[in-house]
Amino acid sequence: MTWKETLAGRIPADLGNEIDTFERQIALRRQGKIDEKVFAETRLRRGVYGQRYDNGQRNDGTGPKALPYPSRGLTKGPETVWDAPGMQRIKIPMGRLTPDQMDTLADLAEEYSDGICHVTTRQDIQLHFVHLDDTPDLMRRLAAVGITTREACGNTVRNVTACPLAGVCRDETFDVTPHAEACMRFLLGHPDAQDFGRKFKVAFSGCREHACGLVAMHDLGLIAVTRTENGIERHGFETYVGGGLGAVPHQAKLFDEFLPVEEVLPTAQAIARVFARLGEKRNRARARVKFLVAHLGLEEFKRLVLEERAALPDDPRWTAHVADAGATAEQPPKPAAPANGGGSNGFAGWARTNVYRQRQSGYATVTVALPLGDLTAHQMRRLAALARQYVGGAVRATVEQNIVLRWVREADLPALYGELSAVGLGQPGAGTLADITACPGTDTCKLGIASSRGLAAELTSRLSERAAAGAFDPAVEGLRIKTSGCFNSCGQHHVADLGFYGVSRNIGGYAVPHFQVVLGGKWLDNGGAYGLASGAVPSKRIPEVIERITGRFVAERRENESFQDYTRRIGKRALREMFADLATVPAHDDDPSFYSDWGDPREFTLGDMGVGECAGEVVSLTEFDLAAAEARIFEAQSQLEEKAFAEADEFAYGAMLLGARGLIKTEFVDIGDDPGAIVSEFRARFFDTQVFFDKYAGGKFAMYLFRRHEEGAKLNPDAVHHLVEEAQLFLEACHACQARLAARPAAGMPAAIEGRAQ
Amino acid sequence: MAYEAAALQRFGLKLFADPASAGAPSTMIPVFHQWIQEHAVPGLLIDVADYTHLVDGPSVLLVAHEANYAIDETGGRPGLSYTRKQPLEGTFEQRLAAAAAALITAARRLEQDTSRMTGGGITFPGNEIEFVANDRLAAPKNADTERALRHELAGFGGRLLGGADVEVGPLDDPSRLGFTIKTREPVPLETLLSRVE
Repeated sequence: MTWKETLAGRIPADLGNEIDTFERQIALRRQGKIDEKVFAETRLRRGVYGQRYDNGQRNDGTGPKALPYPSRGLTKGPETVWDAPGMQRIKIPMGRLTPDQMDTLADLAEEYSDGICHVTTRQDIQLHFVHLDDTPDLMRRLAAVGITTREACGNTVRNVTACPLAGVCRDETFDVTPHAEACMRFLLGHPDAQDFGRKFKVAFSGCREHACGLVAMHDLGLIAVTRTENGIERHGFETYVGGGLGAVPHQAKLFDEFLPVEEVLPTAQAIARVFARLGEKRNRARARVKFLVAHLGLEEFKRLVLEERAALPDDPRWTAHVADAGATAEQPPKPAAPANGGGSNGFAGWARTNVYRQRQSGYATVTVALPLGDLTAHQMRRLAALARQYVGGAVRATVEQNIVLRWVREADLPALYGELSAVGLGQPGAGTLADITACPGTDTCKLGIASSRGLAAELTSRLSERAAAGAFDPAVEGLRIKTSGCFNSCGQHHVADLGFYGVSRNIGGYAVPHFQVVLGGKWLDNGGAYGLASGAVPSKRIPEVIERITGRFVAERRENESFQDYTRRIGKRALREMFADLATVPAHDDDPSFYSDWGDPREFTLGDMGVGECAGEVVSLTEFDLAAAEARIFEAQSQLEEKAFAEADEFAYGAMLLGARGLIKTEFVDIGDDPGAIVSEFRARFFDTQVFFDKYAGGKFAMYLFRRHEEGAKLNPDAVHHLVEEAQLFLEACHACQARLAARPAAGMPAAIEGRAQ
Repeated sequence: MAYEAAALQRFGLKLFADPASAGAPSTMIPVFHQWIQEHAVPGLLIDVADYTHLVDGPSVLLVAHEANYAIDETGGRPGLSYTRKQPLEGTFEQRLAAAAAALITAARRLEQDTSRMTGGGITFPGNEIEFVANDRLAAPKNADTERALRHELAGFGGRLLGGADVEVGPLDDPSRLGFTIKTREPVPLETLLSRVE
């Protein structure tokens, strides 16, 4: 038995087909029949990501050493060895999880990963040290519980995030969950969202003031607002575009003060079309929407989007969710019951920081604080059981790398605390200085410079005792610390009160891990301001930096002065001077500990950095279609061997259609899936013009497609056999044609843009 | 789904440590890094993963291509675990023996290295080993699988621990499929190794 057979009937057909196709593409890449760049972007679009040392080399502390993987010659992308373990990112829209999904995640972490589930800063779950060959079954098991990894990485619409308190928040304007859910479903796999130069991130927030949605740092951010027209209250979104962190952070710009809820999806589609059409494709460092908005100017960007919007044909999905969007779908599992005392040692401190009183009387949301966003498979499984027992399954991951249980009866809080504590999940201090966010950094990321997780672990260890004792000064308790392993800001250091990102400095011929200290960022107001780098400090002295800055703030702050206001008042020069003496590094012989990173005894080096896959590979729609056609040919041949002639015929015909469609997309990207339209366009654009013609065979191979399309299936063994061979030849001719087109000198406007105007 | 011993390649073994000897898991990080430098234990050793901030699970991992070694604190009981990822040749019992040999070899090395590097040193009494099936397709958790596995492990455990009083019992964690195999008296690791090599 296989997982595919075992789960038959439990996996939605479309997800099952996608995973089958991916499995075939893995097989084709093994045979060298898919280009490594195309395969890399293909797997990234399924959330299968590279990991540190996957180039087959690692510095073991004595120097760079080869990792002789068995498949050394076989790659799964540029400089990425097949057998090297990688990361599987699992999209969790709005962070919303069910207990069944949590059980499955625990099982997968144990069987295919290292037994750890990691919550990311965008409400995803990541598993590390996963082998590529295991990913199709991993995906099938996720699909069987309603999770897809599609478009979790790569140049796609990434996970759609939203406030974890949506629907239970005391301050929200309305519950954004149904709108975020509809947006996620609408954009997933949408043809207009497949040809980006970089990723595209969407976030929803229920209010302006809090940070849960972090709208200001997203490509498309939406904040719930209402407007009264003719005495009727309407729901809409204050809509922002062009936000983003990374090396060059941009605050999102206000696109529309009130975008009616009915207009959210068509506007998102129009933005996607403009981004795909005009966004940078070659220079990936400038390919995010933020650069396009900056380049065009907000007004011109908006004009183009509205123009695109006006031309879009109606789609019933735009508004299908709106009528039912008034109330949260979640229902409390038990009647409300107010708190009635009780609670073991530690309960009061935990409740003070980890319990949020919901707007629904008698219920609370509990934050399960996860150190570094990690929990073991065993803990995940126990948490699923507690979710079933106490909240009926209302669970969400947060952008602060925690998990919340919603709809806990207040009377149940002491018992829940006791059960969480029994499995090591009862840590207090959620949302305090001790609740530190960290990207993977040098632990697993190919781009990591310094150990953001090592630093975060050290700080957590030092600060959590004070959090438990409630010993923080109230002025600093709610400050946020966020660490990134490099300037790319996956740890969101720009929006932290105290942000840190990894850099390196050369001291006496040695590389020394440092962190840039980033101050003045604003977590509230949806990530309302970005901090500025204030100076680099050796990694081992960052704990002192925090002590000193927070201590000075407590001593010097004016009445009710916020940390942001304080840093602004005293100025960057004074801030830098505050820790200038900590920037010194003792000589290597005097204290070699400065020359290695937190949690890693190896002497520090930048030699293990690799080529990041965050930006994905820019692969044209034509290349994608040709790769998919190859997978169908492969399946047609397999079916032929099995004497499944109808299936073999269908796969071979489908392969030819995909090949033809891929070529059409060099001129006309909106071609769609209709076979009649594909054949007609192919004939007009490539056959009648002789563009497709081979020097010797002329248009012979195109006739194979035309004949099958016009005459339909002939299901006798010989005919199917011939068709499969003809499809293979047709596909080869498509590749040859594409190569000729690519070699042609560019003239005037890019073909894709020209095609879109039609 | 039905149990297929021939297909059960993913499984884990854990050798329990004397809790008093175990020390902080973080002390194992430099030991595992050194193992990579010295190719000290079988397998293509890749990296060390630090999860010492967690409780109740793997704490420090030595990630290898074929299997992961880990200082494991599941259930609050420290030990060294060895979890297979890539297939092994041979019958199920031969695969068990090969995995046990790798685990015991690593445990011996850990005793020596921690003694040398930290002054104290972790020790393994050698009288208790845990088996966890880690493939829910080949070994689904049900009464039939448990019966079949218990029978196979009783035979293997008897030969490994050597003695008439070997007991095969259930895991503390009812969500996992596995068994503890133990005997009353400690068994030197050299003796254990000689029985599986």
